[in-house]
Amino acid sequence: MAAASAYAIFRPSSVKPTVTSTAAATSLAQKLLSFKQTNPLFSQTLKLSNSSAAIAGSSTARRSFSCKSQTDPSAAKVQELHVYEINERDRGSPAYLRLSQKTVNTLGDLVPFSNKVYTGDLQKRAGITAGICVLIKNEPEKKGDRYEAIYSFYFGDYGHIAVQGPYLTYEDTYLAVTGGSGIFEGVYGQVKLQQIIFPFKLFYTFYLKGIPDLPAELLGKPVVPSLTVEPTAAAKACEPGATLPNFTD
Amino acid sequence: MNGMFSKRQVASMMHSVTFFAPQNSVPAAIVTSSFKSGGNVHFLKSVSSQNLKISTDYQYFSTRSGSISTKAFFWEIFKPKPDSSRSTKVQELYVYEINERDRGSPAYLKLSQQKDVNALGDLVPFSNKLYSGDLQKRLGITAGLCILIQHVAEKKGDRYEAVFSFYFGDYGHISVQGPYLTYEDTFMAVTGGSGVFDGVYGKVKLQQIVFPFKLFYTFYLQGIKDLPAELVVNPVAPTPAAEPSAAAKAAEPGAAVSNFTN
Repeated sequence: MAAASAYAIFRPSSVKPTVTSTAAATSLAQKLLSFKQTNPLFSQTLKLSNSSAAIAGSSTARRSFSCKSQTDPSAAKVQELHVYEINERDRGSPAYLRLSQKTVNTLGDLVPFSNKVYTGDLQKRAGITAGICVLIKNEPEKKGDRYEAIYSFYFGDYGHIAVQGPYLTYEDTYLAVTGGSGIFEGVYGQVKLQQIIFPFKLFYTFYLKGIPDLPAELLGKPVVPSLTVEPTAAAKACEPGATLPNFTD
Repeated sequence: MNGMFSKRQVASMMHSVTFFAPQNSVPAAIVTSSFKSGGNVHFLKSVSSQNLKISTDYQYFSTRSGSISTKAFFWEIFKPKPDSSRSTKVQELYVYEINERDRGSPAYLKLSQQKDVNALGDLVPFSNKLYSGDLQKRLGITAGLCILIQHVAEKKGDRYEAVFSFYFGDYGHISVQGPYLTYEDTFMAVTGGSGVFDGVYGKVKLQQIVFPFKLFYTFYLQGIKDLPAELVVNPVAPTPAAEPSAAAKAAEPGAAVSNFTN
């Protein structure tokens, strides 16, 4: 790592120091914890308790001291995340509010909804979706509707991802990933929505940037979407081992 | 600027720590997420050393960027290596949202099929007043929508999906989206902003003090320049008795930001 530390000296000054408040103080402390292991001299001057901050999925192998990756947005790493959204008709969803008071779907209708989310390999119950579809227009020639969708995907203790964008009942779309919490804090990117069975089964492919490596639990090989795909019985029953930690319900 | 270290103090602290190339880089996002359970104060108290005086005050190592080159040099070594090109420093912002029942808010629209209990379909547009974390200044308002998702009987409360903005007068606004649970604290995503908050991202912690009239928010903001000094205050600890100053409530000059939103 000596070469890396030398390289850091020549880091361009345009890159701002990132230290303030709690995040930096803790990261500083964690650096010092690692220093204690490399240099025994430190054990006298720094009394650091062994705190184990659980670091989910961090991979030091992928860290690089390259300046380019710090300042060039096009080099930001993209992580793919696959999930299934399934409406099992046990959540009172969707709630079609025909506020336009017209017989055909019209601007003014609102559709709050909440469905179950499973990991892409259909092995684990992840949580729920929750949000609203705002009907924009009916497309008679496509035999479908355009909605503007604003909703979140909840992944239990891992946090949530917020999205916004078009939902067309007759074709696949891309929505914007607007943010997240937990391991998804600071996330940006887009998500592809593929409708398998309208409106009960949907398959999503997230293209996520700006977050640390996702935990392996979320990155199982996705089941290829087809009409008959179903979550495992264990996942449906939310048995221990077939759910994410404190999966959202 | 209470609780902050002078530039000289920070520089001397950094000099006292010999640098090594970090063996384990800790991405900033994971570090902040570890605070979710509120354990951060305990962790920092465990770092006891003569050379590092880490305050357990609300303002920890709050430094202004681009000043001392020596300090910048050391911080560069310690900076966690993020997996993206846009990780920047985290700034904390504290505000109180208070419903003074003079804005017709909330407007509970009982649109669901079930008339006697909260159920999916109910919508709750709302707008409340916003005060600075020290309750000395009126900032503006909140404005948006809570979408009821489900009634959670065992917690005697409800889950909402909240989509709304915080308005700070001439300073701009911050938009958020995420869970609002009437029975516990939550984190929402900061989805964007305008004015001084242009380009912002991060998260915000919602703490309910008096349901549904008094809430306390802690923003963890990234991607923006240093916040104006007027917004960076030592917050009053959230308790049911916390009240804005009379001057702030009356939005008197000096007790409100410029063109506070109303």
